[in-house]
Amino acid sequence: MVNITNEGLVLAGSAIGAGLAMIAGIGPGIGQGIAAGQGAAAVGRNPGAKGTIMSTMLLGQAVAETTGLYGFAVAIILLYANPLIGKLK
Amino acid sequence: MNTFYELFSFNVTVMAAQTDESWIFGLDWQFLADALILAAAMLVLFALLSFLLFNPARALMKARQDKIDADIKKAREDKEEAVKLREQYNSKMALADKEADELLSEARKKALKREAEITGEAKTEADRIIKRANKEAQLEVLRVQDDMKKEMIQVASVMAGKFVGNSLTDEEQQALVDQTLKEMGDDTWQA
Amino acid sequence: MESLALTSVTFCEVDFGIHNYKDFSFFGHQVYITSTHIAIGIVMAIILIFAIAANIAIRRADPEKAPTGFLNVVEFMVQAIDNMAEGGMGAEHGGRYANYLGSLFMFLVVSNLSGLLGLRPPTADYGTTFALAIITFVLIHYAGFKYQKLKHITSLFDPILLSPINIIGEIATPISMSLRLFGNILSGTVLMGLIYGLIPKILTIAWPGVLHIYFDIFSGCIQAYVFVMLTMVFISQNFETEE
Repeated sequence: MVNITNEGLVLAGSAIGAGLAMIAGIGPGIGQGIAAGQGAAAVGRNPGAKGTIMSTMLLGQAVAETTGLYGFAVAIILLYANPLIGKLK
Repeated sequence: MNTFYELFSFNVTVMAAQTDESWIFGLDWQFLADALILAAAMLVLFALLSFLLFNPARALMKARQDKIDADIKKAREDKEEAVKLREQYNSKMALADKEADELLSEARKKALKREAEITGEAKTEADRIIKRANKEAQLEVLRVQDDMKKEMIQVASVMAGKFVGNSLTDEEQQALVDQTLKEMGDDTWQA
Repeated sequence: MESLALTSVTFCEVDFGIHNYKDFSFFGHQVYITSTHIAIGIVMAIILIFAIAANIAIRRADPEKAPTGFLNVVEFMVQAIDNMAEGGMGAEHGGRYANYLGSLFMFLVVSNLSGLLGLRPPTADYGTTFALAIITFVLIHYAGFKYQKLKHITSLFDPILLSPINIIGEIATPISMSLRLFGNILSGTVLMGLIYGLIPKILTIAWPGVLHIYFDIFSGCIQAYVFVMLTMVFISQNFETEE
């Protein structure tokens, strides 16, 4: 730990932070799974409305995905457009 | 851009790929320029696609649909007209049948009347002919009777003359015949 | 640095970043023509070639006759787009936005599928998706002011305590839309790039095809559809004039 630079520490923290940010993927995974399950049940009950159910389900899943994508955006920013490096100077 | 390079520098293969020009995400002037360029491109694309693709395609489909609609409408009208014509035809045919029946029955009636007339005429004619024939027959009978009378009287007078002695002249004989005839009359002949 | 030299197997270069090609000045700042712009140009060229071919086919077409071949495809596409617009926004408004939605959908589909051509999808650049979301944002508020008049502003402050949340919600709409598209396509691009860097070059001919099917075709088409659907939903929210 003697040779570590400030920059290296920030980068290491950013990498860990990016990994942690991707935990946000859990929520959308569960949510999309529930939506898909409910969609399957709805198709089972009412096979005639398959098209409408499908599009509604996809739309709902896309909206539910938002939080996961926020996490993904944070991870990407931490990795590729790190704002913390600039604070060192 | 730098950070990406350094973060992945532990991996040789990744490092080889990364030049200083490669980047993924940044909220800087480049981002603004990208957004403006894409927005302009999108609007151009929208205008061109509307002009080249969507509006002409829609116009074509509309033209076709209008034509099909017009065709269907025309077909329906034609059909209605055909039905109307057929009804007219049927009613006319029924009327014609009735007329024909009427004509036929009239003709039959006329024919019957005519027949009756003809037979009546024929009957009267026949009656007339028969009557005349009867009359003629009667007349003939009378004439024949007359002739016979005359003949018989002549025969008688001849016989009588023979009896008398051939002295009778023709005038006397004639007078005698007349006298005999007068005497005999019709009643004697009839008896 | 020398650790990977132990294998003699050659690997692909991991490459999922945006490359700068030529710099130019933008309001006094140095910016670049990037691979995104080139990909946008190629995508637009593909779409426009298709549109010109369709236009020629339409010009030659006789409305008296049944369509054949290519014209059938064009008409099916236009009709599908019209149906989608009218299904999402109602027959009254759908026709007015159908052209933009159709252009948007075609652009997104071809962009998302352009990964198959070896391009870096333009939608994996936040500048692209943000611009599209901003156009949607403008359309949303255009429709809002047109159909709701002043209520479009006053409804933001309806319960005065919730007004910050309402305002943030309005601003979050384009950001979440753009991030959704960007994130989905970028994650596919990044994963594909990493996998191409991970496996030996020999294998890259065969097996990432399955992943291409998922990340490029499936995900790309779904995200294009979702973006267009969300645009329609957000715009048509402003059509209800009651209450």
